[in-house]
Amino acid sequence: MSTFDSVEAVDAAVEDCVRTVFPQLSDDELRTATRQGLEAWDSLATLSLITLIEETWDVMLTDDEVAQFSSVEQIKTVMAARQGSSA
Amino acid sequence: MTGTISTLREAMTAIGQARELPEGTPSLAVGIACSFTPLHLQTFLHASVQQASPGRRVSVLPGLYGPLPESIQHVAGQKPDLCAVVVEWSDLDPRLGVRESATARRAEIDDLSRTAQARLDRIHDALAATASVCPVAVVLPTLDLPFIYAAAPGRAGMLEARLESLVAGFRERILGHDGIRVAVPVGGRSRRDLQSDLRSGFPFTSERAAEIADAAARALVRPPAKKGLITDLDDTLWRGLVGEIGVGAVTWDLDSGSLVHGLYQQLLAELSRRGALVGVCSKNDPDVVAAALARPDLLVAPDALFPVEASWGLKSAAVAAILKSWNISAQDVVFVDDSDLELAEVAAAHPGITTRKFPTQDPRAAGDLLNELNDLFWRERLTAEDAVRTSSLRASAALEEAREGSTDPVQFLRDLQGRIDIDEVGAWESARAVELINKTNQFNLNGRRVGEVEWRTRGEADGAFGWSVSYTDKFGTLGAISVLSGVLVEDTLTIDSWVLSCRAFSRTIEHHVLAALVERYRPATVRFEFEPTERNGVVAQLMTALGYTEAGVSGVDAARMDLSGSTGIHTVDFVSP
Repeated sequence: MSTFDSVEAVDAAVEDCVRTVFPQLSDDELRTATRQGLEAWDSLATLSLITLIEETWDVMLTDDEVAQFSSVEQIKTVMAARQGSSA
Repeated sequence: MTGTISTLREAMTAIGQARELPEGTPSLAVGIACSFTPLHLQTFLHASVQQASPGRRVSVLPGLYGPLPESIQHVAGQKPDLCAVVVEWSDLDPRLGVRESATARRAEIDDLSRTAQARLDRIHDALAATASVCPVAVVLPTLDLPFIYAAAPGRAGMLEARLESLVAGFRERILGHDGIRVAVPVGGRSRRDLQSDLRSGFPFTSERAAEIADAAARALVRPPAKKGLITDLDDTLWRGLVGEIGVGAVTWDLDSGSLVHGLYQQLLAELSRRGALVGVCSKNDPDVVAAALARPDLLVAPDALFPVEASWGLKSAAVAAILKSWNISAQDVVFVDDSDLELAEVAAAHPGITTRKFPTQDPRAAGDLLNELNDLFWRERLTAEDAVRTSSLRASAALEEAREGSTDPVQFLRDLQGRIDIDEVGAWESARAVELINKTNQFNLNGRRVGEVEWRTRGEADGAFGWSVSYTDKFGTLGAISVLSGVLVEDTLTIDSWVLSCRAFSRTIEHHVLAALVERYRPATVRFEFEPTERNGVVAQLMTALGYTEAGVSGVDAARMDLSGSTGIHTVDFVSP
């Protein structure tokens, strides 16, 4: 698993993945994006996010983790928890 | 970005970069048909085709979720330019998919085989229909069978053998259709993603999806084949320095441990047979080279090698002479030599040339080189012109030699006894016509490329005309060397494509063709869809001579075109159907 040395680095890596999937979002829109509130965030976008995050961290996400992918904030929380548990 | 796309991030980046293409970039629609939602496969295919088509804006048209034949038909109905079809075991029988197999009882082999054959027949029919719309790349099953059908680990089972036999027969059938290519993904260490299959029905790992997309894109979009290969001799065409050890001592056989050179000779013979030009560039005594190339055990026929430049001068100068003789640009040529120094010297003098080192002491690397050369020169199909290309170049060389001894250029051309044959009917069905349009850079009216289906469709328009022009003179035949197409509306003739092979330059063929066109259709105005490109200066000169002053569609009074100075030199005939 790739490691990041701070919460900020984890957040930045998550945001980079989200930006790749939703290049049209501004930085502010990106940070507050939710699956409910963003029309482009469909099932394919979710799968793309999962794959990008798995590529970035070199991990396989569990179904429980994926179930929490409802907002960018939540994804950051999930990945920060991963980072913490592997530290 | 270059190279194979292997991660989703690379794929999405490639797609994102294409958004920056300027307005008016030609589009390229790629259909994808499979029985599951294509998800990342769609993204990877989009990116791989986009990467292979830098001048096009690629879009992807997915098929329907459900039975594969219907998905294929749905895609074909959207009239894509290209189509990729991914077949998996579950398309032969749903019980062969993980999702169904988990809830069904283990089926019998005969029962599964019957269903599989019937399904393959339907898929075949859908593919055959789609191939009449656009080129199709088919990826055949690559996943392991579900666990309940697996034989003992490390052993093949009877069901697997039966299914593979059915798929082999299916592959042979679809390869019989013009326009269907079977794409074979490489790699495959990690194929099935069970988590993804159970979660979303998408059966492949991201890595496998990338491999499948890459194979399909390669099958559908190939870079233009290289036209010429210039080879060194010593430690390249054969092992040893012929000037040092003698003509009889250079080797290319197994017993001498130099068979890689024999394999290389065989490849050159094959490339020549496929219409590639093969020339020789060697720092050697010309007489010694001539004697060595006359050895009867050489595996490439001496007449396949033209020209042979043997001297003690710079190799870049010899390469320049060969390029001039071939009348093609360095970008279309591969130079092979065993010396890094020679490769660098040639590369510096000829920007754009592809150089490859012959690894004379490393058979594995030599094998990789032979595979790469085969790929660089691969052409989808061979035409009659491919068989005569080298002989027609010899004819051209003989003609130029004779021209230098002539004092009256017009009389010289008359003495050629040239004959121009115009085929008005066969051009629309001619693979050679499409090939000429797509690979001709210098005499090309506008640089536009065309797909085979698009070409045939163009011929169905009201008033459309398409000519395939062949040329023969006393020095030999050049085969089909020019194609032009356009449309006649009322008394205005618009030419939208016109190419002339560089092998046929300096014979006033273009003037004869224009004169024949005017004679045939008697238009009041002739319009040319001329667009300047980096390399079609020769057309720009012709346009200027004809009175065209601006790029784009413009026309002149046909009666004002002065073609009298060149007509009547050669005989012009129309080919009867």
